[in-house]
Amino acid sequence: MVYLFWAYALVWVGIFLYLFGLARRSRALERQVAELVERSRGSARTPAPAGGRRAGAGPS
Amino acid sequence: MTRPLESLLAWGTLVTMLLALLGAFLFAQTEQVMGPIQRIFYVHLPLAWIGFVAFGHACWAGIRYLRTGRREWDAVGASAAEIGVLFSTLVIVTGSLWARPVWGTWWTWDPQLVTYLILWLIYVGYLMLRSAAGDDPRRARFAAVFAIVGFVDVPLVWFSARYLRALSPVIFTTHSIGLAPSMAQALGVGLVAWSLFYVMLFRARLRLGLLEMQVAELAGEGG
Repeated sequence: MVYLFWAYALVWVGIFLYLFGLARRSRALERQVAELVERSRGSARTPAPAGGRRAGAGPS
Repeated sequence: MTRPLESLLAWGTLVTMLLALLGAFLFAQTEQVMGPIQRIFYVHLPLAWIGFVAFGHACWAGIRYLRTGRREWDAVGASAAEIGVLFSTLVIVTGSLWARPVWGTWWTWDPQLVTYLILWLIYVGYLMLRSAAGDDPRRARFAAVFAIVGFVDVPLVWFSARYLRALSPVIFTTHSIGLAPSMAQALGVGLVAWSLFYVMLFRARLRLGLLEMQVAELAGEGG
């Protein structure tokens, strides 16, 4: 009975750990999207210089 | 998939999973030789079966990627292989927990077990290759080829129990199912439940994979 218990318990622990990992990756992705949105808003607010090159884009 | 269909899938999975647990513990008769430990079978076999389906799915996605070059197929392959590795890891764990009291050992170099271990190692290698080889079309091509070649091992696992001297019991033959009716019904519900669970899990993982791909592209464009 001990082996039976551990078999079912470990299956569900494994599944939940995987789901937890997916949720963590999803949160990291949300943070990344928020950063990208913030960055794109920042570059949209900054007026472009006369040369047409975006300000804050860094040297090339 | 529309929202009502998604909730139907979620509820269907939950209900069949509960039925599968009830079937395994209450409905299926106790096996006479092994006793209650045999009930591991009702989770072990569906996981093994869905693991094969997942690897087949990864192989199919690999073929589609090589033919079309569309990155969505790469994401499909990665999602299917990842879930396949999760399920096959659980198959090895539950198999060991079953083997210990029945065969008196956690592991034996039985042909079916060895070919299954090789299958697991191939797809673990596939995931390592994906994580190590950067993010470019070359990686996707290597991964696609790896998934296709890896799938060749699945028929070897299947037939090793039939044609080599394997310890694992052969349940499905061309003539019959070697189970009592209550056992076969419990197994059937388990197969449906884990299949639905695979579809749910795959959809969630694929959505994440596609989003990761898009975010990586946007971040690349943003500098």
